[in-house]
Amino acid sequence: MDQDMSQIPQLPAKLAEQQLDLLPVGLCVIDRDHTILKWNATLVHWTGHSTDTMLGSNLLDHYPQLASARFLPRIQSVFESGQSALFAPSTTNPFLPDSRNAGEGKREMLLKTVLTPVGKSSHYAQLCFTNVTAQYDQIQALRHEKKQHNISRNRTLAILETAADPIITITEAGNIESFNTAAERLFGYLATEVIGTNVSQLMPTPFREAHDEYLARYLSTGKQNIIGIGREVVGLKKDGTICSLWLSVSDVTLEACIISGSKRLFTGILSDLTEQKSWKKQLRNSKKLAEEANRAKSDFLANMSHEIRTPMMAILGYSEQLLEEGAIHKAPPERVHAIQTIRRNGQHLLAIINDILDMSKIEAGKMSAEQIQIDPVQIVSEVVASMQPRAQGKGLGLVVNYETPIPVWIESDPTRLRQIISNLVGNSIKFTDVGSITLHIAADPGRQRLSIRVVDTGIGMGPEQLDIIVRFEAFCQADGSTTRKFGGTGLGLRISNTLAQLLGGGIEVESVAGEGSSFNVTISTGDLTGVRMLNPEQIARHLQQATPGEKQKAVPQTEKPLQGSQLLLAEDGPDNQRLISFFLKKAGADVTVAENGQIAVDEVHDAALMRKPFDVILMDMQMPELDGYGATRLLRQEGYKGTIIALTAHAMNEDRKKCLDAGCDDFATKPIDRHQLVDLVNGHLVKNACTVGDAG
Amino acid sequence: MGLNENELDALVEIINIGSGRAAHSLSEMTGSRIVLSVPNIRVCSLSNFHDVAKNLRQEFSTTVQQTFQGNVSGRALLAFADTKAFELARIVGGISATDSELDEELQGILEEIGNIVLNAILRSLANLVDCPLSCSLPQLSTNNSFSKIILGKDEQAHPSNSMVLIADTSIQVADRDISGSLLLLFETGDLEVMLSALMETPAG
Repeated sequence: MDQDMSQIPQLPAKLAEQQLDLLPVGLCVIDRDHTILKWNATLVHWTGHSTDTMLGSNLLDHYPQLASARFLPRIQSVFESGQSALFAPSTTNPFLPDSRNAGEGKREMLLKTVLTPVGKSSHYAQLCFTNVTAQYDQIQALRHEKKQHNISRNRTLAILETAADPIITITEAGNIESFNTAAERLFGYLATEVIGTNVSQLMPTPFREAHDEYLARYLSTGKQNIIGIGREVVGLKKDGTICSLWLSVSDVTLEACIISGSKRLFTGILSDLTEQKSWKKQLRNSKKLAEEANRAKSDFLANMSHEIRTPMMAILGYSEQLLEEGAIHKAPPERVHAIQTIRRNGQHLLAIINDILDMSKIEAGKMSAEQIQIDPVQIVSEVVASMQPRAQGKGLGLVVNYETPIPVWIESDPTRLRQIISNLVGNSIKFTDVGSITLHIAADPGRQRLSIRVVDTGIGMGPEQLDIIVRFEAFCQADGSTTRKFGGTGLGLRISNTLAQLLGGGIEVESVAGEGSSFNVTISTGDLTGVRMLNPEQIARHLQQATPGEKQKAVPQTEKPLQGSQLLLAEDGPDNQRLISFFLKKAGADVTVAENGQIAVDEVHDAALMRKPFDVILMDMQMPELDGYGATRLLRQEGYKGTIIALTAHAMNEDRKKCLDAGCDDFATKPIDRHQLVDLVNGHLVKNACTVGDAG
Repeated sequence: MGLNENELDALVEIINIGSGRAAHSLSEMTGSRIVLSVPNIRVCSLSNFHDVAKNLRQEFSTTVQQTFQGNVSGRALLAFADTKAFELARIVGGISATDSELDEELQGILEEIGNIVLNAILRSLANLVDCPLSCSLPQLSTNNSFSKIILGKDEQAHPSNSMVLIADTSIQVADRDISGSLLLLFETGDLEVMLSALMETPAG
């Protein structure tokens, strides 16, 4: 073995010595007296001390720090015990000056120093210095970065932890990275229990499976199901209960940094919808209850109107019959007055019922308006004519002032317009004791507007009262205390305002307490291009032309327009049977009465057999045995082609539709004005005669 | 092999001499008072070491070790739990790092601490057996369990009847008490050599 070793070529001693100079570490060899025996080129370079200066000199003379208790005993132990010693750079005050950095910014090297014994009896010791300055600078920088990173991380964590909403961060793989305190509270898991696990455990099946698909699809296609949008999801708590949550997710890519590298995360912010849902449910229930109550109210109103209208017909009809009987002028004035009072109160009651019905239509959103060509001058003058007796009765003037040329026709609903004007004029008369009521009429063709301003010299209203009125609330009068004095339901203005809105306008109110009020109705006229405009003189002529027609229309009322006609009246109420047949017979008709639908159908059959068919059937809709709807339907099914006019106390629009659907040709609402009834029947007789004539 | 009370007392004494010297060196190094105490020691064979290690109070996973050769040979280890090692290095080096990661600077400090403590203990042993022990430079190992360092390697290096001397250590520095463990692993028969030398030396 020793022989083999001698065979290995040896590096010449001088070369081996030179090798030590080439090492990147500082090398120094000393003996037990600390005399320097070797000082390599690296040390010369680092310290600036030449080999010549250093060799043979004492190391402690050059670097007295080494003689301290920190170093000397350990240096000695290398010689005495043959142990190696190590001095860590950061625990050793640098003692070798770095000559390379002389001058400004001068700093000393950080050295890792290792002492090892040399030779069998440890007569020598080698000091090996490694320069770790750059390395340690890097460590310091890294530590600084870590510190900054931790500060910002802690800040973020503090925000996350104190956030009121649960916040969960997951990785691309769906693994939970952070789980804040609010999330712990919501799900019942501790952060330590869920961090690192898959987020799908917080969802019940089948959402769990769907979530994995969403994430995979978003990562591969960028298709967003929830990311950047937010939506309602279902959560699964630790105790197995399920909760409704709103989830909004954002996609976060952390910038590359030395410590953690680049990373993509999804942050989900949740809010618990359980409470919100329960409120919504309560709200829905309350709404349902309110709607049910409102429907019940509407049904009640409709039914009540039917129940009241039927006896009203008898009251109004018979009081009129009494007043028209030939011997009325011989009756004592008290009796005439009593009958007139019955009629007037009946009319008042009917008006109230009509208002209530209108109100329920408005509340049910069922109020509708026609759009036909109407003559505004004609309508205003009709209303004024009908209100004139009331005004005169209180000694008030009622005049119309046309302020601008007025179109000969506009597009609107005649019934509704009449109703609005009647209501406003009626109010003015009611609240005015002295003076007059003036209607100022003006048209603005450019803006397609017609305005009717009703100005009175009545009691007027103060600002507070005006405030109440302009809200146009139902059942409100400006002063609760006046209700007793003036009467009324407080519905009129609300209805008028709604009707005016329906006609494309509204009502504005101005008033001064003690001086009077001004109600300005505006309605839409439709396009007035090419429509003839009437100036005040033309208006006067226009009215004179129209008036004779009115008078002519009224003439037949005194004759017997239904002379020779065969009518069938199907009506169960004995009062109305007698009253309606009285009106019809008085107009010259031959009336057959049927007490219910079945009898009516039988009568029609009999008449057909006798070859004396009825010209018109008046069919009450509510009857025992077989009602009007059923009887009409039956007749139509049998192929009956004669005219059937429905009579009903139901005044709602849908009732009209129901009658026509059953097969009726026309519709009349109780209580029926005797003239209207006769006109209606006569109209159909004339129409049928024309048709027959045409056919013949 | 069982040790009698006298033998254990003698071993504690020897190690205390070494730890006293180590404490002196550490104090010189830091410029503040450091106390190193060894309250008790146990001896077991390498084959039993696993069971003994299981019963240790802490998982020691940062170790500094040096090998020694001479009349007695083996390995000497100073071990700490990771957090304790970090804390010790931080206090000794006067470093205010904010997290508990052992970077190279802290590792360098731990190597020097290990070198000082292990050299001092081994020097006591060398004096006892009256022969210098040649010691390697310290080697630091992190994130490796105590028993893995001992057993993982030594199945080949040491026969299972090698003896292990385990000494609880406590380093008191800057009002902190940092507990660790000192371990001396002797090649077969070397502990007996040491004990016989120990018993020949007049007590006191």
